[in-house]
Amino acid sequence: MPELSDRLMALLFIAAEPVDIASLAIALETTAEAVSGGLDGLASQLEGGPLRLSRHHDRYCLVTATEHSDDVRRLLQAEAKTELSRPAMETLAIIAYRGPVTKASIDALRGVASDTMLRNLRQRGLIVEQGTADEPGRPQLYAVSHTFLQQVGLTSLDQLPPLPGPESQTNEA
Amino acid sequence: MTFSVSAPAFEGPLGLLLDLAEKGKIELTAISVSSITADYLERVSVMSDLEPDELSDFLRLGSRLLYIKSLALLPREAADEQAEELQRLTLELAEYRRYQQAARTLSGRLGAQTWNRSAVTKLPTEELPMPDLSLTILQEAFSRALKRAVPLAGGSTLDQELTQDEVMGRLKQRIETGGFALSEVLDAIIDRYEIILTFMALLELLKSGEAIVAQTGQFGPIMIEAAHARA
Repeated sequence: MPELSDRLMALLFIAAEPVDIASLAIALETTAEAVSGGLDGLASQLEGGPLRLSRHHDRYCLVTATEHSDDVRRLLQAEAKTELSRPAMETLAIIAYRGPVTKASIDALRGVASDTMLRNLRQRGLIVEQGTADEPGRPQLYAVSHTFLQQVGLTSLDQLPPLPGPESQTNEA
Repeated sequence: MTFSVSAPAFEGPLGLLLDLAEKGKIELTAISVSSITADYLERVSVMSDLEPDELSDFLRLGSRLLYIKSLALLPREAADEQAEELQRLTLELAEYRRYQQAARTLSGRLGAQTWNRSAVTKLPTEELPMPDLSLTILQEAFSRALKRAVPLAGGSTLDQELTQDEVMGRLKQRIETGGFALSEVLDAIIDRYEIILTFMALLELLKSGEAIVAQTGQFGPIMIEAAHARA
């Protein structure tokens, strides 16, 4: 029997979309704990190679490392993504760091209504609706998508560069 | 969506205020608020292209600045309130700035991306023109809906004659607000005439290129979306 991490790699190579641990456990006829451990092993095994293990909302997939970004783009003849406007990027940053987050919280932080930005980002598949907040009116919560992680070349949300500290003063720049 | 101000597009009122503060290399204090308020209001006054909603956000911050400024003119009791208001604004501004900086960092990361296999499988459906097959599927969906629909009661008159333009307008609106599943629309209609009008209007929209048809899986729901949403 091959190593668990190799078996996981084979499955993730085949899967076109990110897969959750439960599905992997069923396919490998083992427990979720074993899969979880195997995935950790796979992640470290991949370090330094051309592939990475990407995790988002407890779904996993294999991705190419960022240094191969341009090669892949040329192979797929994919156009470089159009740049996002500053307001859109800002809304996205808030959702990435604060998510899942309500529209009201985003509006409060930006000091401006964010409806257009949210629609724009959703249409681009960069954010997804993720449940509702446990507060009056049960407002919709927004979170960044797997597509977002891939666009910014990260393999999990833990890798987001740290948010600049709140202590930075306005006259520092 | 974006503000066409003479200066670079501002994220909003806080973005503008922050920009003014940074350019003037000033910290927000009771004294600087009075000078920055004038600058701020002047900039807002030349923003002619703003939607009323957007303008109101700018004006709201403007009135906050004026309020803080006015507290300085009042007797001593107002001093505490001024300090409080000012602190609140400064905190909001600092918090906003953190995300503004984070956004710049993230912007810099765009381009060097990771790819997974879905990039390969997604490409054909997104890049190729609508295959003929989709039209057949579309037709079948409408046939099903027609069978289900109540036939027009023999020569009866409709209370309100529906026109294709009306139906088209409705569809366009739904497309603009994020697209919809075909079955969702068809299920809601029980009148044959309206189903036929909807079908015709939809074909018009596909022909003119305003809408596109997409299907995520082989038996997945047929989605109608705005063509530019995929651009």
